[in-house]
Amino acid sequence: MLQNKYKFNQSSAELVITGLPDYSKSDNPKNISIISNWQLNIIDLPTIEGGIDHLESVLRAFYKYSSLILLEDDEKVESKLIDIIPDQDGLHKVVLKSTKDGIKPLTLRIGNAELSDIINCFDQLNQSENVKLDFYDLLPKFNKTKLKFIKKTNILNIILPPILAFLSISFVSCFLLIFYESSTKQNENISFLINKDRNYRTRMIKM
Amino acid sequence: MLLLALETIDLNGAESMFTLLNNLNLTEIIPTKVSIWQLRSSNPIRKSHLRNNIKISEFDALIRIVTEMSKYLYPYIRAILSSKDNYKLSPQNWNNFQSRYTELIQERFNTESIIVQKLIDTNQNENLYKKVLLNLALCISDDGYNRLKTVLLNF
Repeated sequence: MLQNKYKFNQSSAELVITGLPDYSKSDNPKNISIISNWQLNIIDLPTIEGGIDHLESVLRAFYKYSSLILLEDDEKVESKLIDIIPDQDGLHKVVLKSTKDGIKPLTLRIGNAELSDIINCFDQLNQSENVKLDFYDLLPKFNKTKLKFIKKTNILNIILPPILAFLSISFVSCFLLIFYESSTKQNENISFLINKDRNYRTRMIKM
Repeated sequence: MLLLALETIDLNGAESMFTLLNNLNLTEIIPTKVSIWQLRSSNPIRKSHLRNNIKISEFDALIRIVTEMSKYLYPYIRAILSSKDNYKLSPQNWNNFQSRYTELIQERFNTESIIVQKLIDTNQNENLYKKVLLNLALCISDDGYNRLKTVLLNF
């Protein structure tokens, strides 16, 4: 049976996917639903290749790493098959671990240009209509966003700010009024004491 | 910052942005060049800062412009990143980008602000400039659009 092969290129990187259509799902003969082999060729670097498990692991690691770099988070991705760590001079160290015993891990140093080429190759694979790979679990997930949009359609968003402003102004003015009243009473007491003291002194002088 | 980086690479950036708006059928959201300027002026560190809220549709439209421009300018963005990676061998592209980007920031942003002073300080700005370029390089596809949106919402 002839296998299908698709290539995704971006400047220095080339991703080659080889596989078969899944006829049980009545696939188009040109499609690839069962990936049998893949290769990632980067200029001046050794070829990376493997099976579907490796591809998923590599994709997950690269996507996660790129998101971490852009978000200035803890830029380090480690897994069973691949580690990506920031290297000196702003480059990136990719450590590929073999599943076979006795084979030393392969270390590659890639620059930012190569990293963006690789990610763009993976993006092309994701968008390809011919290769069917479920990317849902491979892309990093963010539970919350720091930036929030205000929905003007929600009536609370329109009413709440002026109410809060009014309440805060009235609270501050009440507080200042109480403070002012207590301070004036204190002043009255002090003036009373001063007057009392003066009267006492004048009496003493008269005596 | 991203739009300014694109303007640094494309000398006719402002015109290109408006042309792309027409090509992407975004003129209903951002109809004129003045509208683009107004949206860009919502950045509080700009000299001509306007206090206006950006709508979700306008936010999306700006990301679309960045994505589309990055797609066209990808070879140049890549060349600058490559120059930074191999700085000892070919520093020209990076140096040119760095000096022009700094000039544009000085021209457009409020230089009295401490943030802007850090942006134009050549000892501190290298990493930030590199990150801006990497953001542009990674947003040239539909997935890139989502990636950039996620980054901007979480930054």
